[in-house]
Amino acid sequence: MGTNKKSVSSGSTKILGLSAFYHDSAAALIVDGRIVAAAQEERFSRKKHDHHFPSKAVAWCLREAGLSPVDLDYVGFYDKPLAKFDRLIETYAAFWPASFKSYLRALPLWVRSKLHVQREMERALGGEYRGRFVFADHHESHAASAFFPSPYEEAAILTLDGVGEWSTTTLGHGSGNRVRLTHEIRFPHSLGLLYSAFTYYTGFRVNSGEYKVMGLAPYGEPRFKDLILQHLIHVRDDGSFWMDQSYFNYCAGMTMTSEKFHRLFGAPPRDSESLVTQREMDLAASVQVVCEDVMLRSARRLHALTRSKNLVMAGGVALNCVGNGKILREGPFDNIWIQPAAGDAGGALGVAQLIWHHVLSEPRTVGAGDSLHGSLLGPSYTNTEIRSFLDSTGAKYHALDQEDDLLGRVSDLLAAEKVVGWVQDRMEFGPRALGARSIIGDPRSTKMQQVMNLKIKFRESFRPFAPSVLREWNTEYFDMPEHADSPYMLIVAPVKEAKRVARSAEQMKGLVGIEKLNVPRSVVPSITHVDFSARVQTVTPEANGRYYRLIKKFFERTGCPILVNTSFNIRGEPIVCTPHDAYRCFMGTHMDALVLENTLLLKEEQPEAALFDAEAYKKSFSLD
Amino acid sequence: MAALTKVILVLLYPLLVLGRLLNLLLGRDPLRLREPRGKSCWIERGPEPSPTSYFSAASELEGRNHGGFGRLATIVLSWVARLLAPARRSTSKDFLAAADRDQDIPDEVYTLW
Repeated sequence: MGTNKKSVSSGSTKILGLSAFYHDSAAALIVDGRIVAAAQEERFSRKKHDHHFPSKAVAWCLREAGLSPVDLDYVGFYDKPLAKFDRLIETYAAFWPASFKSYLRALPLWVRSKLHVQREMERALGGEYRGRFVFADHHESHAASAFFPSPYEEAAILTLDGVGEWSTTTLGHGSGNRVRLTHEIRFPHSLGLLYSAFTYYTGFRVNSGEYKVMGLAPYGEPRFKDLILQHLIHVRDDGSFWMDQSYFNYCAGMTMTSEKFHRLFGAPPRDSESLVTQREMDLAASVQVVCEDVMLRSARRLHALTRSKNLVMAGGVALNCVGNGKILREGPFDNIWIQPAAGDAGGALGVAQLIWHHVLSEPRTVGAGDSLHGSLLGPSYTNTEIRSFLDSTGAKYHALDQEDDLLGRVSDLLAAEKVVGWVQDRMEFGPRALGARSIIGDPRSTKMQQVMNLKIKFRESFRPFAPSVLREWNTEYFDMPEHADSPYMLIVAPVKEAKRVARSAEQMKGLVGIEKLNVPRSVVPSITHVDFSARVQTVTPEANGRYYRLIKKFFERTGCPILVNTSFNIRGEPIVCTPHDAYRCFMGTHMDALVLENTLLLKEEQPEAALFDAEAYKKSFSLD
Repeated sequence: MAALTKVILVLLYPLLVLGRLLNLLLGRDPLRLREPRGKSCWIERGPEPSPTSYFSAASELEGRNHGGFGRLATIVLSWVARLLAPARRSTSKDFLAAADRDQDIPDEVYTLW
């Protein structure tokens, strides 16, 4: 590992940002304001959403820059523990005495540990760090992660998530080297927690199942929308809202929803092992519609306040790419940029940049594009390292050091409906695979969605897949403004009418739920959801390099400028990081081929003894 | 130590009712459990935090102007926490890492703490 090692001079300012102890712990290193490295702990520890101190991610970031903790000038933490504790105490007082059980579980953690975060950081850095620790407000960290790397000199800022200290949603403005948040909604009123409540109620796991709820929504009808708006959340015209806490239990209890919530919707929460029914689909559709409505209204309010033509977003709810697409198409902003690590992991980057710009008052320069390098900020591996590893396992491989040979072979495999694991360049920072740690396939295939879901990802068959499209072909296939980009797969757009199969909408009318999947919907059925939407990634040669050239080669062979792109992992597994992770996943699933930089492996050529039992591999990761 | 922590916390819990009563008497509603009147629920934040505030684990803005008693309780409990804190150089099991927790605490609740 380590083809990107930068030599950092001793006169440079080295800042380490950290997010930890809740979910998606991460580390980010910036040197003289330049983003050098960023990675989530889960990629190294192989524990999905790992919340422990990101010691492995820190070690890698420092190694990448040739530094040790003693070399760091500042270490920043992405939230303010005392402000969070203040919120917790107020909540327990407000819900006294019902809060006793929760209080007795939470407070020991706080007094013994969470109130000593600085001490934990000192310890985790081996006692070597001699500088000062910096703490930023959670939403300010999000705002910084959204604005500072964006391609705009000034922009309106919208942050939406579950909760940080007190804020759950904020409006603000960024200009030059400053971000300023001007308005907020406070805990317990939270769009993120409303969405999580429905994630919990529909039987999915909070903090990871929200994506499933969003994917499930197009199968349903929003028949519960009015019930939600009448009872659970009262939304004002300006996007602000108030939530009736009698329907929720997260303030004082150990669940998201209360009995009153269950009575309102006529049933207890779905058991996670039971079948997903039309009811869950309708619930998902309903909360999704409400979420989009609040997002759009908030964006309009923000525009009225700032009059900016640019919008930047972060926070877990900013991963709701259907809502983002709605803001892009129906909202008042000309341009939108969303932090790819919009969840808590991105806070590590945000606090590091806050130190650089706010604490040190260093200026910010804006280039032609964003400063995230396509979000490829993680580890990479050389061909020598890869082949050395493969030799040690006895794997059979083809060394294709001429790129044209490699891309030609892979394009042929894809065109033959083979599923290919694709590992190139530096690993992505954030939850989406963007062509560096991806599983790819032919979007024209009618069987690809089912094959990828059931035989490779081992996940629910309703889950949709995303397209990576050559930037210049984007508006040919998807209904997006000509100038709009979606480099981080965070915008959902409708597939163009011209690319849809005639009468497919009519055919779906009589069908319910997953039956809709059986109707061919477009010329690229594998990436077209049942509502004709797609979660688009626009691919450019500047940001995506070889991945762009692969799609181009596939286009030359097939006339299709799109590939199916899904993260290189199975259900419950973090996205692969190393060649070893990738090889293990390749051998434990029904993937047909694996590409590790310039090296191609075909499943049919691998020694039988090296094949992993798919069931055993699947069981090695807990369900998400 | 864990048992002592729990005993102290159980003894302190009734004091929270004072906070609740105080809030009721003064008409404070820091969590906005009663629906606010008016056309908007947006709350204006204060001015930009000062550069020095970044070196503190307390916030100049978050929760500052809600008018609750949590800040006072936070100070008291922070002192209790100092007494119960593991030694700075501790490397043994008594150092409870922030991420370590009882396994039966649901993720959705833990994430709010």
